[in-house]
Amino acid sequence: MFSPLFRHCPPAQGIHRLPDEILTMIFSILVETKDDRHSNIWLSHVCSRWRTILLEMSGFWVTALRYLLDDELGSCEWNSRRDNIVRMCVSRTGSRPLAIAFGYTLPPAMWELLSPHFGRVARLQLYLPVAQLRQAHQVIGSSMGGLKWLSLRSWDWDDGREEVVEAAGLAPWDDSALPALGTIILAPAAFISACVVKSLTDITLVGGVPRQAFASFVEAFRRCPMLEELSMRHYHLVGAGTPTASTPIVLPHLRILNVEDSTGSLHLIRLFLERFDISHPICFVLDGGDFDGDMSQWRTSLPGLYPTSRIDTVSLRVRLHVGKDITDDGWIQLEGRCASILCFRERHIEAPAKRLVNIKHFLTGLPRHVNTLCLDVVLLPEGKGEMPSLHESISRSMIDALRGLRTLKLAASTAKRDALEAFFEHAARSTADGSMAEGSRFELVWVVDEEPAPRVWDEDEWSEDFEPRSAAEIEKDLALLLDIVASCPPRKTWSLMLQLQVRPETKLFDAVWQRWTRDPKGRGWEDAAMEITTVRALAPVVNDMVLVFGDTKLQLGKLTIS
Amino acid sequence: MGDSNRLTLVASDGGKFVVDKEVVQMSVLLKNMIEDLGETDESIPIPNVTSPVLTKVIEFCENHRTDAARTDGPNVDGDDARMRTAVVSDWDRQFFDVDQDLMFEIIVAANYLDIKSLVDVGCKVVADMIKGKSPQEIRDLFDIVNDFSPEEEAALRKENEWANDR
Repeated sequence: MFSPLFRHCPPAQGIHRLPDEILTMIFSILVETKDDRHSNIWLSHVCSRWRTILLEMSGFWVTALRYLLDDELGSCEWNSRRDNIVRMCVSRTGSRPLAIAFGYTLPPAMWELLSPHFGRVARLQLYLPVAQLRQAHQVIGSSMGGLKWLSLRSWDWDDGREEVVEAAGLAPWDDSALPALGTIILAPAAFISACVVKSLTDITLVGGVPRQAFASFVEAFRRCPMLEELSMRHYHLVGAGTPTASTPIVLPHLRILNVEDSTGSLHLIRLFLERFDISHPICFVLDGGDFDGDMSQWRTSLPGLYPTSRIDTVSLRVRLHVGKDITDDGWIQLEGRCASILCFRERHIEAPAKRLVNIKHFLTGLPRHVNTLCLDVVLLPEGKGEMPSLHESISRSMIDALRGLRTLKLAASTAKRDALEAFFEHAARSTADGSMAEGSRFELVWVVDEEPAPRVWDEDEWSEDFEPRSAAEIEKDLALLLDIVASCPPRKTWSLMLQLQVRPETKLFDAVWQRWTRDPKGRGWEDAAMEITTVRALAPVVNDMVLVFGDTKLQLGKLTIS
Repeated sequence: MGDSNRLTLVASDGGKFVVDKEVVQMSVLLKNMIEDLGETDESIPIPNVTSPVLTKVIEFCENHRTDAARTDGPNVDGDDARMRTAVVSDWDRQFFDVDQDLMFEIIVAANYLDIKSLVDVGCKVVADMIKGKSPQEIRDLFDIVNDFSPEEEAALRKENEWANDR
């Protein structure tokens, strides 16, 4: 025990002037900040006053424990010294709910040490071998009654591999044992049949399901009457056997059904969908993700299953594959079932005019419901004579035809100017003829990509040979936008989002990201933006600003440059 | 009769500051006081804040006067969430580019006057100064005395043992 008596009394100046509640706020910020050099636990080693305050902050130790287990101790060999520090952290969390994460390994001694506190675990994230997940499953069902959020993912099982991973041998959880569990993420997906409880509202499943276990897999959802969102990623069936039919499962609260990145055949997707009886509108997400190849077969044919599906759809988000024909008549049937269709086109794909013609015919067959169009990379190989103008005219006529279009995203494209002008004309027309719903807006997303537009589709495009576009080229791109928005419709009916997309290894990344986040002097985004002078000129018209760095996205809100 | 949109604040050392009411109302303390007083020409004493500190506080409020959302309405997510999302702009960092004593005086004054955005930004700036430093580096930075007893030091060393394996 540390006695507060007979302490050195510091002069009441400098940081000593700060009252305890302010120091508490500062420590709360620090504990959420990952520090590669020093554990935040060491803040309690500075002086007795800081230590006294920190020992009273049980929330601080909950966060510190989470980082300690997941990051700082996760990759080290276990020993008694680690036991001590974990035991100390846990003892300081008081009676607060715990958030625990283990990656790669789960030392038995650690599990044992935490076991008296399992009842307090509200959030559990395990990334372990399948065998250890099986062991954890049993413990969760018997002693983690306070669990609200759970992620069980294996690292020794490839979700795309033809390997059967079943829930066989796992005892299903009892509803009363996990009364608060709302969200679950499972990989392998097949574990779901032993992991459902009636309180679940959000389920994410990753990977394939053994064909012979398909019936029990689908039946699991019958035990989730509160389910609101179901995501199936990389869904497919593996192994032999014929799934049998069953009575439809009613999910009255389902709002979102997401089968993005799924690689199963159309037949198997249909098999899954037909097990559900969902007559109310939901958002159906069918997104090809980053995969390529045979997926396009079912993706572009999928609307064909709607006439036989009980699922009704309020909006469909789908990523089109530019390189394939997409002329399936099923899409036209689909239109009657959807209030909106958001279309995204794959990036980094060469789009010869012939294919663009196909896309145009496809999209303009759904004029009312295509409300988002992303022309991410619309390019022509060089040296094709009149092709660029043909390309532009196709983009323009496509936008002209899409009466329901509300959002246009333009990135590296040879048809930017024409597409943008057509969009503004379309916005003005829709505003004038009263077809715009009250309060709705047009949205323009203008992507400035530091990466040069690819001349041809090349899988090795992200090679080390990458040469970023010069600042002058980026300036030119922004200048074009500035030039066009000068004559745009009134701002009250549209908004503009400027998206600056850069790669981590480039100079622009240094200019923006490094300064924005790491410069000890704290120079902000505004400084970096100054280097792109046109951004400054655009400030009055940009409603929203997004910086994209790989998977990281920073929403900066309205751009303000003083 | 003076300008009804402005009022006078009096610092602890007697310094007087005539400020727009809109600016002053970023302080919850002063906002409540103004509402209680109603229309008045009386100046408002700020007994705990000196003129140099009050000058800086007013400068911050002037600059952030349009950030109404920072102070208006109930804070649904609580202080922790607000703190985590508080954005420190380049201007804010330059504002706090002062000597340490003044920086901490500003934070103390903001806490007293209940100016949440200034407290949030101040705490973030101090947290950034601490981040990445060892206990000894933190002591050196802020002139903090290591006042642990030998017994306590021994306990701290035990807490540190695990770190030697990192």
